[in-house]
Amino acid sequence: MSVEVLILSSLYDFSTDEVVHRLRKAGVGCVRLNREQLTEHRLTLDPSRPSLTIDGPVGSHVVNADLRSVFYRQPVFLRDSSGSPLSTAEQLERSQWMAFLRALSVFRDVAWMNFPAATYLAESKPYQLAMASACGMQTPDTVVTNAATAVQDRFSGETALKSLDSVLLREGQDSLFTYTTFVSTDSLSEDALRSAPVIAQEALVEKTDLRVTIVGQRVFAVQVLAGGAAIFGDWRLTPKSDLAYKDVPLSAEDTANCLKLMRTLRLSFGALDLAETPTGTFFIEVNPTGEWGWLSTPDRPIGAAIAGWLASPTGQSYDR
Amino acid sequence: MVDHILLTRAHRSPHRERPDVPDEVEYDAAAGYWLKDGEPLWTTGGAKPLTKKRDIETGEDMKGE
Repeated sequence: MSVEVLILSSLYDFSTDEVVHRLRKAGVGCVRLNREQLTEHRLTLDPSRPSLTIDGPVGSHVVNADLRSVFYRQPVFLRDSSGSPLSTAEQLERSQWMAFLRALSVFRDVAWMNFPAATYLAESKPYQLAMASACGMQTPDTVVTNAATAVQDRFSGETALKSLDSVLLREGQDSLFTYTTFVSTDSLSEDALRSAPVIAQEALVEKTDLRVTIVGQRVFAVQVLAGGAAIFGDWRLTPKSDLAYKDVPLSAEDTANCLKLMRTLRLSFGALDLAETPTGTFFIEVNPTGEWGWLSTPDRPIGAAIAGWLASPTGQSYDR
Repeated sequence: MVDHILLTRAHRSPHRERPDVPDEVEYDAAAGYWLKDGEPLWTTGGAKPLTKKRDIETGEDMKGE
């Protein structure tokens, strides 16, 4: 079997199952490598040709000129949130396999969803905001700072505070995660910010959350609602059983802006968070390797769109 | 010393090394997907993510290492 699509994922990325199954049903040769199982295989990369030889539980394959696309569902940099010391063997394994996966970027002549270098840059929230603004999208007034006075000089009343990167920490047997949080600007002390920078933004109080999933040129937009109404603050704090996702048409202007942003960031896949407000649509953030399985349904066929794009990549190539 | 606001506002939950896997499923490495009773797990609705953050908050795509 020639390998036409290479999938680099995680064993527990269950959403990837749909893509792989659809590709196989369509007769597209594909191989899925999960980062938890790399050591169970013998993998050999020739970077100059390039070719990748795989031998192990996924079978024996050679990835070379038949390759059309790569589905890259991997971190692009290490976040050590293990909360306990790693053995030297564990440190070595993590750093070197991560580098090996990034090294697969040598397959430059195929389509990527998404190319690791593009994902790396697009993971920066301030960079996203700058690019979104340059693409004509409204963005919340923002400062990135570790100085409370800088926040107070810019904003009054409630301010939205966000982390620059995912805050996932370990303390003993607990995991800590920080959502977008709202603070009274006046009450913010220097000590509360000094040890790490944050993103401070104007609070969009009157808003409806939009999740826009883009696959190539296909756009899937839903409003995120609770009890039929918009949600104040970070909707991830709303009980899942109360959440509803309503398909909505995105305006032609918003659609064009989103697609322009994707081209600018060189992404073929992106999960965007937008906010509808009385003064128009605001860009909040884009997730280059965002979760999509929770929204994929027969009437909202995101998984099928991803499989279709990987089998026959279309449109502008954003990978290089 | 005042803790950083991102720490004082953090949500705490019991740590799990990996997401929960439904009972009686197996991963078919050659196929590239999980199976339940011989059928692809995803077609049964099993293990479908419930939110954009799944049930384990490691960033959008389990980016935490």
